Amino acid sequence: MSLWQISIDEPKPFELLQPTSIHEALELGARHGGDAAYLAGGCDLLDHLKHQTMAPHYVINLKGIAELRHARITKEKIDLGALITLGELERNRELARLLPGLVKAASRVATPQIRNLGTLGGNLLQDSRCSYYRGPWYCYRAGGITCDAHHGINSEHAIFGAERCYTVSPSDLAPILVALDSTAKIAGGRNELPLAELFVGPDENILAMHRLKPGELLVGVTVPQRANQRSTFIKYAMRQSWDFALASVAVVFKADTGRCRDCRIVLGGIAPTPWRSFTAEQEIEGKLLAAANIESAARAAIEGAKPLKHNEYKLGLVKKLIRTALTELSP
Amino acid sequence: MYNAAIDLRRQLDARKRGHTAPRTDFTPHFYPATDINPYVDETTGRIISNPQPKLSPATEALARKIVAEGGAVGLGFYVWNPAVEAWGASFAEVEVDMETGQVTILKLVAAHDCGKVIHRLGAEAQVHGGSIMGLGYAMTEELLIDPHNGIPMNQSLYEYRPPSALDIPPIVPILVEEAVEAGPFGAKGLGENPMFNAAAAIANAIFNATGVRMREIPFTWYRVYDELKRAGKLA
Repeated sequence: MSLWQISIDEPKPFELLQPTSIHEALELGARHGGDAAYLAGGCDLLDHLKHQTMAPHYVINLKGIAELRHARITKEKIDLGALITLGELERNRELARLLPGLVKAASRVATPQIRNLGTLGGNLLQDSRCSYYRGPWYCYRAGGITCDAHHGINSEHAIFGAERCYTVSPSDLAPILVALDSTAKIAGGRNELPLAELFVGPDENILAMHRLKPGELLVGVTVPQRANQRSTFIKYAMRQSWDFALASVAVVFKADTGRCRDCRIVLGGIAPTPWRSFTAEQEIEGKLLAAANIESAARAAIEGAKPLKHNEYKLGLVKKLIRTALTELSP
Repeated sequence: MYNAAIDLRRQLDARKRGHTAPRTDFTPHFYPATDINPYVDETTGRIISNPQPKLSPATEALARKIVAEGGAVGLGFYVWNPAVEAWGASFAEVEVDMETGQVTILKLVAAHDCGKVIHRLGAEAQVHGGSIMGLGYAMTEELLIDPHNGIPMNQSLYEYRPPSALDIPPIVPILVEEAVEAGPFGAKGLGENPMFNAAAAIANAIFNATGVRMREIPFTWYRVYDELKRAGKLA
């Protein structure tokens, strides 16, 4: 993005394509490749179009595809379509009983208006929110040669997993869905991918936040059903509403007579991808959720963190998040 | 300034009517009948109805010089009366997380002397609204400018972060009715006042809670964290 683009508030002309089936959408996607963009809720894409940071000639509107709206709950798994809105997730009583963490995460995204537009797929695949990437700086992620966040205003940037780019994963659903061991269902190439592998860090591809290629489509997410599973999600932001996470945590484990089994602790907003804290998981795995164990897990979570000049507070925040989440789930 | 301007216009009007003799009286202009400002004698404490103020020698010399050169001079003076000003005080109750620097506002109390209250619901709403603006000013709102190339970084309402409805603590407006003769029906101003003191009250509350002085707004997590760290008070 160059400096003159700073005031642009109008998209370049594009052709709107309206497929009614996944097959049709994939055909259009394959035909136009990188010159097309899939449109779901539009909360992120329309901003990009308006500022002309993206200027595809074709926009493929997915909202007419009924197949993408499914929510099927069986004994083994829960299938959620990519077009389910965050508001629908938030209001689903069945899900609130089975996956309380997911519903909590959906209800903490932005505002009710945005939740009624924004979709599950869009929330997972949204682009970086770094002001330097979105603004008129020639940053690595925008194809440039520098990262001004490294020595600029970086109070909201990454403390883990940064490599040249210090952006953070902005999604609230990603940490909880990764913690739930979900699988991403993809059409137009690979079929399935563990959700954790959908996200890509700057060390691998600095230009993208996820691994989908042009023309590929995220169809939905499959969450396995497990007995005695407990889950929660906590997010801290500067405001209680309409804000991205400074840090968030998703904790999922199998309760086994007060002990933690198959524990997953995934942090959001502190790394370019949903950050699974293996060190914290090891500290609590198979142990009772006692205060001392919770504290050692919280301390282990910040091992190896590399804060920048203004984001050291995220260390305390991560500790507090993990402590609060595990305490909330302790019997 | 207003009195001086009126005086000057009188001088000019007099010239038009043919009174061309230069001015000899250099007493600043003051109308006891219409001016709202009583003049209090510092020694007796009484209000003098017809004060005789004097110009400072330097000003008077300058005025005389201008008049001698054929110019016109208007002189006036104004006495500030604190009773007609609107006064206010705010109180904040905060909670500071010593681990992360997060500041939570638990309660705001705003007391305002706005003269006679004409419309209580509107006046209280004004205090609520002003306190919320002060809260945003204190806690989240900031125009971020990149320190290396001076380009504003948050150019949208979302990124500027005014407080959302969920961020607003209980606000208690207290209206102190001290009617004054100067305003209509004894009312004073209550437009901008409620906005001014929330940030200062919150800063003092943070000092009271932590012993750390915040010298820069907004009190975002990283600023409070950095100050706590500098003071060696991090949990």
